[in-house]
Amino acid sequence: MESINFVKRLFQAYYKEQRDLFPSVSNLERREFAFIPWENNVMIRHLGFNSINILTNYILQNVPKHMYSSASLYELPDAPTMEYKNYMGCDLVFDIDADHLDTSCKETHDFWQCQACNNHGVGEAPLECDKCNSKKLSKINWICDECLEQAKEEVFKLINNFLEQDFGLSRKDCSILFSGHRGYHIHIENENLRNLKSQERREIVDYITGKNISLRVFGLKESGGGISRFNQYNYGWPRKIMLKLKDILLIEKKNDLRLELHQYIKDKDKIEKLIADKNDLIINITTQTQKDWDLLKFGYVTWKNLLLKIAKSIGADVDVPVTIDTHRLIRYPDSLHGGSGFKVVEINYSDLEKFDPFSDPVVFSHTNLQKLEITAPQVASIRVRDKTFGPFKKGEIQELPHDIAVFLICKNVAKIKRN
Amino acid sequence: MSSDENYFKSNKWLLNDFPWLPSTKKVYKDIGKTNPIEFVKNLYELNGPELTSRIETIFVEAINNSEIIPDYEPDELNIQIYWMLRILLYILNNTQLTNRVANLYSKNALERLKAIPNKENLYWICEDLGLNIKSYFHNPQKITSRDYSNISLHYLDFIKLAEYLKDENRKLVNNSLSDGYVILTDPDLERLIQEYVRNEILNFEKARSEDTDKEDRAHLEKILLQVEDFKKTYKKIKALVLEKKEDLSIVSSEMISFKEGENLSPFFPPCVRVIYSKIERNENLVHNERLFLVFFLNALKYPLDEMINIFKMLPDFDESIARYQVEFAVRKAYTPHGCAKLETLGMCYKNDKTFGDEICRDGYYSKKQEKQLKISHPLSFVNIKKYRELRNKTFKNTKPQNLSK
Repeated sequence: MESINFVKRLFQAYYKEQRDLFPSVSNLERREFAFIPWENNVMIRHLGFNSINILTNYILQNVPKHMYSSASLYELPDAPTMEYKNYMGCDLVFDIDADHLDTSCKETHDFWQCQACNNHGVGEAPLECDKCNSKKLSKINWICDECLEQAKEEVFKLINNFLEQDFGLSRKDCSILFSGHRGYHIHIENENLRNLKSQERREIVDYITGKNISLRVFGLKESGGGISRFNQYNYGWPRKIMLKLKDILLIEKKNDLRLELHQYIKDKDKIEKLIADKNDLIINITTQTQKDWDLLKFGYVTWKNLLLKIAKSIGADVDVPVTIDTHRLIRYPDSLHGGSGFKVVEINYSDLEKFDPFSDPVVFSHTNLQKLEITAPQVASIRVRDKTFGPFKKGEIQELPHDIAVFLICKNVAKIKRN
Repeated sequence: MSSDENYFKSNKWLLNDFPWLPSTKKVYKDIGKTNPIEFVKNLYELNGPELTSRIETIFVEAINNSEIIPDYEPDELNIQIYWMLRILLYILNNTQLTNRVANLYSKNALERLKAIPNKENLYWICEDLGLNIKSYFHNPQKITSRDYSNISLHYLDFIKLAEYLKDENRKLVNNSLSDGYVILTDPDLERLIQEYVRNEILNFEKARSEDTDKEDRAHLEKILLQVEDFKKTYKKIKALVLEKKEDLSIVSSEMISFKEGENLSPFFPPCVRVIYSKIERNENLVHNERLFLVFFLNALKYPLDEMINIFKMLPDFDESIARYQVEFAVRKAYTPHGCAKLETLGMCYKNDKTFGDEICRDGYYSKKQEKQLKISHPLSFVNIKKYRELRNKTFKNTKPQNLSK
């Protein structure tokens, strides 16, 4: 409790400082608000605020651990059930979460612990403890430069390759928020999009992720041996797939090309066949001919697998349920994330490249110190601002700056140590 | 006056051919304004026998699942007929019938759109429908080496029009999307307009306001039945609906369909349960059994993976082949064989000791217990079984508590 009180006091100090600067979201009075307190993890929701001042006072009084507002607008946002709120539409929201990305760093920094026997390990948690077979495992998902950089790449992919290029939305319409922990939210407020039903949102998200792509529709024939219509002059997905394949084939050094192709094709003979035919393939991709591609040497299944894997690498990795849910609650800008102590930061597209998720959202002091005891069996290293802390082992006592101390307490891997 | 209204004023043939265009109401201003009883009276006075015959044709063909309205006349009377359909479907208030009419009328519209003499008219049609489009008639856009586009449609309009189209080439991901617009060939655009027409007609029957709807329908029915000719048409259609009641209940939008977590197999007819039992015993299925099972499950809207999972128990299961076959069957979306066809294929098991069922053997009583009806389609069997289950549940739930101990 002492640790929680310590963090809560710091959160309160932050919100006090922000009292007159705290941002108001658009249509504030039409949005539902929700909070999770420090004392328990039960969400308090169905709240509404008529002005930013009333909201700020509420935050100062209650100092929540997490704070959310709805992506939807309602006539009566504070009605106790969804039925009575009178839904008026929902912004289009995309969530990119490092947790869902396939990054190798997870194997080095995520860890799990068995709640029954305290056995623990690094990497993805097994289905059950290998010592006592208990299925009650607690998991700590860590963050590092690699996974948050990958998340940022996905934001660029989403905005540049899909929202702007294909959906014709302006990057100015896309407000980007760092979630304060593991990822980014892209929020689009547009009257025409607000009325989209959940199923219609799924069509958009399927397009962005490449789910349900049919190579048959694009011209890959299942028999008779040919791809009849694919080339780089198509629109939409066929064009994206062809441009990526061309980029791969244009790798000059044979060994580099082999390595790259190995990510998509496991059969070495087929890789060699593709390399041998690469110039003809590039001609097919770059010329607007009606000629069928010769598949006889390669086979339908291999083509299909190759093109689908390429498609998978092109699609933006967004969390589908977030986009299709028309009653979603999302983190409030400039609020603090109770799982990290970092701020939810709104970022201009032009600043995204240089945005540093381990520095820009950090609000607590790097000079004031606090003594902590590490409580988790092992804790991976973490960079805050320009300093890296850890790795730590259970029982270690450390005097650390407030910024990292808050992070470790919020991640539930350390507690205040009194002399 | 908007430019498209001017265009349609000087090209009235388009409105006659496509009476669902919004400009119909602007060019033929009287249609929407006269009260229904006057409208219907005048119509019968001027065109009595022809009107009756053309309306009845539409209903007969719709109930028979035809795809074309025979002797379709794109004349001014065609517009009035469209408005009469609107009135009739509203007061008849029969979802299955409205579906059939919507299917027929929209399929007919597609054929008319395909035959349109100058494809530039598609531009005016889209404009009139309020669709957000870009046109390239003077510089068609190349979609693939074979296909060109004259019109692209904003993705929001595309998504809305394609909402109920399940084939994979209507999914946004499989279309040519660029800068907010889906670049479409004329046939693809025409198919989407067909969907607009279908939705328009489906809306005829829908309630305008739940509170007043029942009264409105009853009132309109009462006053219109004072027009003798209308009464005759109305009664004929009602009789036709009654006669084809069982047929209408097959593959309707209200039909039972797959829902995540719900097991529909207890409602399956003997012909399907026999196939299931073979699968459970890991016996191979003959070609006809496989096809029938896929068509049957697809008609119940089973997801693709769910269907493939069922086939996984077969000894000769090969995922890629099974997937191909199931995808093929889903694309074709054939209605499963009816009972007569199943009998000729030796796949009817109504008398089987283990799987036979009295509903198949003896038929069933209609809701009003007026007469015994024969089952003619395995999908009807599912509907009846499910209906009986619901009825029994309702009965159990409404049983007074103090009577049971």
